[in-house]
Amino acid sequence: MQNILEEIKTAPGVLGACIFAGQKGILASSLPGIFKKETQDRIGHTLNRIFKLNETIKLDVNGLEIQYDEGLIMVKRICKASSLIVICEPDANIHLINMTISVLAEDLQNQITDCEKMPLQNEVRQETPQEVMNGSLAKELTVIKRALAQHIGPVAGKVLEKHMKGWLLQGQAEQRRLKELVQLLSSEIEKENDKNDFFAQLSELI
Amino acid sequence: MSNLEQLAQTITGLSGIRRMVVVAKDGTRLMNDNERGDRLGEYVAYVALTAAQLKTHLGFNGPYHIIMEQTSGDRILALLGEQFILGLDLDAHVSPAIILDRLNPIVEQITL
Repeated sequence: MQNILEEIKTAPGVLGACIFAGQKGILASSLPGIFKKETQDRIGHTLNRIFKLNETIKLDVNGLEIQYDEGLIMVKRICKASSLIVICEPDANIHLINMTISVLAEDLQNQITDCEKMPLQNEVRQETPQEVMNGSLAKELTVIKRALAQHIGPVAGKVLEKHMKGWLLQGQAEQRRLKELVQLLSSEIEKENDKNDFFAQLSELI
Repeated sequence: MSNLEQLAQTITGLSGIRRMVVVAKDGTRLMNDNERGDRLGEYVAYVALTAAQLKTHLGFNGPYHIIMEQTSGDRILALLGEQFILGLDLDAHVSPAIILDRLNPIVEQITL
């Protein structure tokens, strides 16, 4: 592990790097002596809090770049509990360092004990239509259901649920994907004029 | 003198920005581009606060901007002004560097 950190340090503009693993703290480091172990631990704990927010905020952030006057901090989540923290000069070549980190991240993952692999995007648990209806898109989906009901009647709720299942298979429930859902629902409206009305009613939403 | 409305207009003219939010340093929402109750503003405020806490350990000044990369390749960019934070949800194909070059000079000029 130390060898890999030393290798990262050879990239132009990199001052050093360390591996932070949750409760275990710093596992290895190639940072200059000016960054004492306690300081590195504090930095690791502080940065780790950002990744912990992922579940709450429904994001899957796995990398950070923080630009300061005197330096650039790059953080790459190696697995659920471990992160690689790289401290660079402020004008370091981010792309080159990112490439170096990406190449070595898998080797690091293999060397960290109990490193639970990060879930890939398509492995993230899929929400049910009911969960989505009661979640952050509740207001928008209610508007869509009401608009649909004006054209197909009281079955709108069931029809919405049916199409949401297909919609959720294609990706996560997000505001920017509402247009896809509305397009799916429009297939349930027979008359072309009614379809146009339906889109017009929801134009502000999508 | 720039203001938040001018900033919003400039952002509207840039492609690849899916959402924007302007929050005070305490997370209070000052402006956003939709009425949806999402938590982008709270998130960028929290990350900015965390990055500010780090500078005491590092002995650095700032921070000035933060890029948060998601597994999908999409990025969230936070630009830190004197009195506020601009949070942008970017498509994966958009270069944060270009957005920063365009918006940083405006953000630096704005006082609330």
